[in-house]
Amino acid sequence: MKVDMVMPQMGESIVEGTIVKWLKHKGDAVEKEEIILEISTDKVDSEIPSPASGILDEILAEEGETVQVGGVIARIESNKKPGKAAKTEEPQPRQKEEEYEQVSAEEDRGKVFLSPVVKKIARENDISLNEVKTINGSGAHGRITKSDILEYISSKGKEKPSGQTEKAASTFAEQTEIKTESVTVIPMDHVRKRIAEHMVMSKKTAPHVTTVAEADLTKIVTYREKAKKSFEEQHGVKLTFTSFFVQAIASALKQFPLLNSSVDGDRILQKKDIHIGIAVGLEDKLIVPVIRHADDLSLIGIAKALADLTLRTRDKKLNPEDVQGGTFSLTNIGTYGNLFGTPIINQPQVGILGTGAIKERPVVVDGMIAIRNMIYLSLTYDHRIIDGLYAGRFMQTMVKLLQEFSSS
Amino acid sequence: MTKKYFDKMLSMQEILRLCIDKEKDLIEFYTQAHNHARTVEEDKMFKALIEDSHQHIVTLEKQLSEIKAQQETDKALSYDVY
Amino acid sequence: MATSTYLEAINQALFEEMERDESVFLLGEDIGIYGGAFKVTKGLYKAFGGDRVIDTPISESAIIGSAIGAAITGLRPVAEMQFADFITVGFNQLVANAATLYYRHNIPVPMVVRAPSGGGIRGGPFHSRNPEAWFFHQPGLKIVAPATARDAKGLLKSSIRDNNPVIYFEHKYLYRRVKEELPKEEIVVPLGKANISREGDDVTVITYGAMVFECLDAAKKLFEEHDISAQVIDLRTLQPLDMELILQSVQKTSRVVIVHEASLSGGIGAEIAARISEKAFEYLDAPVKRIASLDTPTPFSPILENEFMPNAEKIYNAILEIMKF
Repeated sequence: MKVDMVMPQMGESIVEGTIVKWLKHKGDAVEKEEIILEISTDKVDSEIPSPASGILDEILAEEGETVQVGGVIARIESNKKPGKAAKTEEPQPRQKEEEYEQVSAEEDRGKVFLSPVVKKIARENDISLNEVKTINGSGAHGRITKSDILEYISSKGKEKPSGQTEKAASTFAEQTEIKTESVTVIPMDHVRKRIAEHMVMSKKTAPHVTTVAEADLTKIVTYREKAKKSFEEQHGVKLTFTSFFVQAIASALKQFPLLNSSVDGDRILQKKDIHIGIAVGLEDKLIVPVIRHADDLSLIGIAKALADLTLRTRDKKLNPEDVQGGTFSLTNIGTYGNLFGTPIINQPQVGILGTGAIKERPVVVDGMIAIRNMIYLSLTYDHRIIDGLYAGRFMQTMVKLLQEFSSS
Repeated sequence: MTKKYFDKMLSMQEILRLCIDKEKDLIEFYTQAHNHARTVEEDKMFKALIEDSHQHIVTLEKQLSEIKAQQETDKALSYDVY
Repeated sequence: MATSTYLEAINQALFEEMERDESVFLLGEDIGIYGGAFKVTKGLYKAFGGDRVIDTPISESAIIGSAIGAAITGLRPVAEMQFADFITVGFNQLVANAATLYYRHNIPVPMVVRAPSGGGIRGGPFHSRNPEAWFFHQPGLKIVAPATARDAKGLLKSSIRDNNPVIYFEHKYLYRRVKEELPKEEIVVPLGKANISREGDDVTVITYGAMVFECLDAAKKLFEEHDISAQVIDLRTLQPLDMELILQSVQKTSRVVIVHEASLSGGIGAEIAARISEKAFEYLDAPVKRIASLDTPTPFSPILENEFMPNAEKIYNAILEIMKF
């Protein structure tokens, strides 16, 4: 009996995966759960186990090929030995369920009918159909009418200059591309394309606003200096500054839950769990592993979780769930000593905190000039649902939490 | 409606009676149809048709009574002669 | 400037063309001394005599056949059907002969058949129909259907001067109801050009004949009550259709309602809707809506005839429905 092996669902929004390497070849014997190939998606690389024991009978997707989730990538001729009944057992039944739910949700969204003229206008204005579907429709059953999309475009047009330069830039690029002797043409790989798409989508979806605050980290720096050696000996992991930030964010989000939500059409989904994504830049990609239930963890717990994620990110051993479900993100802008930056929101989240470099600066404390360890924190938030006042108060809470840190 | 009306030459009175019968059939038909009306427009239309047929009956009966009166007069006049 | 009714405008056109061109002559039932059933040809017998205003037997086939014969010998006959309904008696003469003569023998057939059409006059099933779609299906015929007095005059003159067989549907309901001041100067309205009867941006209403006025009433009410601006297009000529103007309007409004008094199925509205979906699908924001008479014979009962035909209220509701889509 032949068992189909399909491209697994590697995460909520992932629709396809690329075959990186087949570890087994046609005709090889494979055991159930034995790793037989590596695949890559825009979020994570994974090793995929065989769904059955038997002979790898057919390979239907070669290395480098990108296959839709659910597409058959191989067939395994399973053993017919008694007791080793060849069942088409699903490797991950739970994920299968999630996949089903996602498909039905997709269908619901598909019910949003777009008339020919709306599609045409969207195409002419470089608006994706997914973006069109975010417009509130005034037609029957909320249908998006021609005047709805025209209104949307004209209201967008007020911030158009950037859009226009964007377009101009791309035409310019097309023109230069012809003169290949003076330009090196680098086709974007799968991951780069996905990053590019995600960044553009996020900027188009959410009006980004960034607020910058300054915090005095002297207490934390002093504490860490004092405690880091014993901490490492005691717990087996390093005590990084990131741990302090994660702890402060988790605590501040509890007071400002709106920043821990996402926008779904005209509803706000406020998340009860606090899962903080930590943006980790690798050489060729950006990965955002997630610390789950960060608000339930102690500083030690956070440090341990961080160390684990860092190690597994470097070794490409992350599981799909390690990069899913983040509700707020943290990104370190200060790695090379940079002061602050304006990060892009990791959709569908509504906030991301960027941390600059911690530097010794002369500051005025109680009327005296003192040397303190200062840092700039920048919060980018989705201005659709977060007001400036709310963001400002969140930031001041963050500053207070960091400045008044106490080890107890 | 498959009654044979014209198997012999009819008098004016007979024709008018037939017409009145037809209008009454119509009223019955429209009343039944009215019971099945699904919209306000249909309701209005069948009511108007019923009313229309009632008016027709009034007109036809008036004509019929005029003919009858004429006949009575004719009769009376002929008595005078004899 | 003098006020003329739609009927008088037709009479004027006939008079002027007969005066201008000796080859123009009229034939039909009772059009001579009697002046026609509707008095359209009143005074013409007196003015031009029995040789040019010819009374015929009650035979539409004979009238149309004679007209074809006269036309191919170089005359310009204008044949009157007493009612458009009876044109079917001469149907074969029109579609098999008149429409194909030029194709078969390169012989032009410069004739006009005037066909008083349309309902709303309590005419019942034989005196109320709008049979334009039958001829619309036959290549080789031109079809005209004026709504205003000015167009009635100008289009009839163009029809008479055209070298193709033209069927000129004049609407009986409009004969004495439509009045307008016509200029002293000659009016010639070209065939194949539609007219914008009312400017608008939100929805295109395509119509012709008596329904132009119902559409204008509906458009006025929609603007007053709902701020909906409907562009009303009076086609004037049905064959050839002015697709250029139709498509321009559809591209602007993206919503279309087609209204005609002829029955719905296989009507001219069906062809227009099909062409719009072929040529302007990408501009549509709603389905194309047709309003027409029901697919039944025209009822005798005034109440039922009112139900049967489109009117301003039905058009108003349909446009509103399309605007809400």
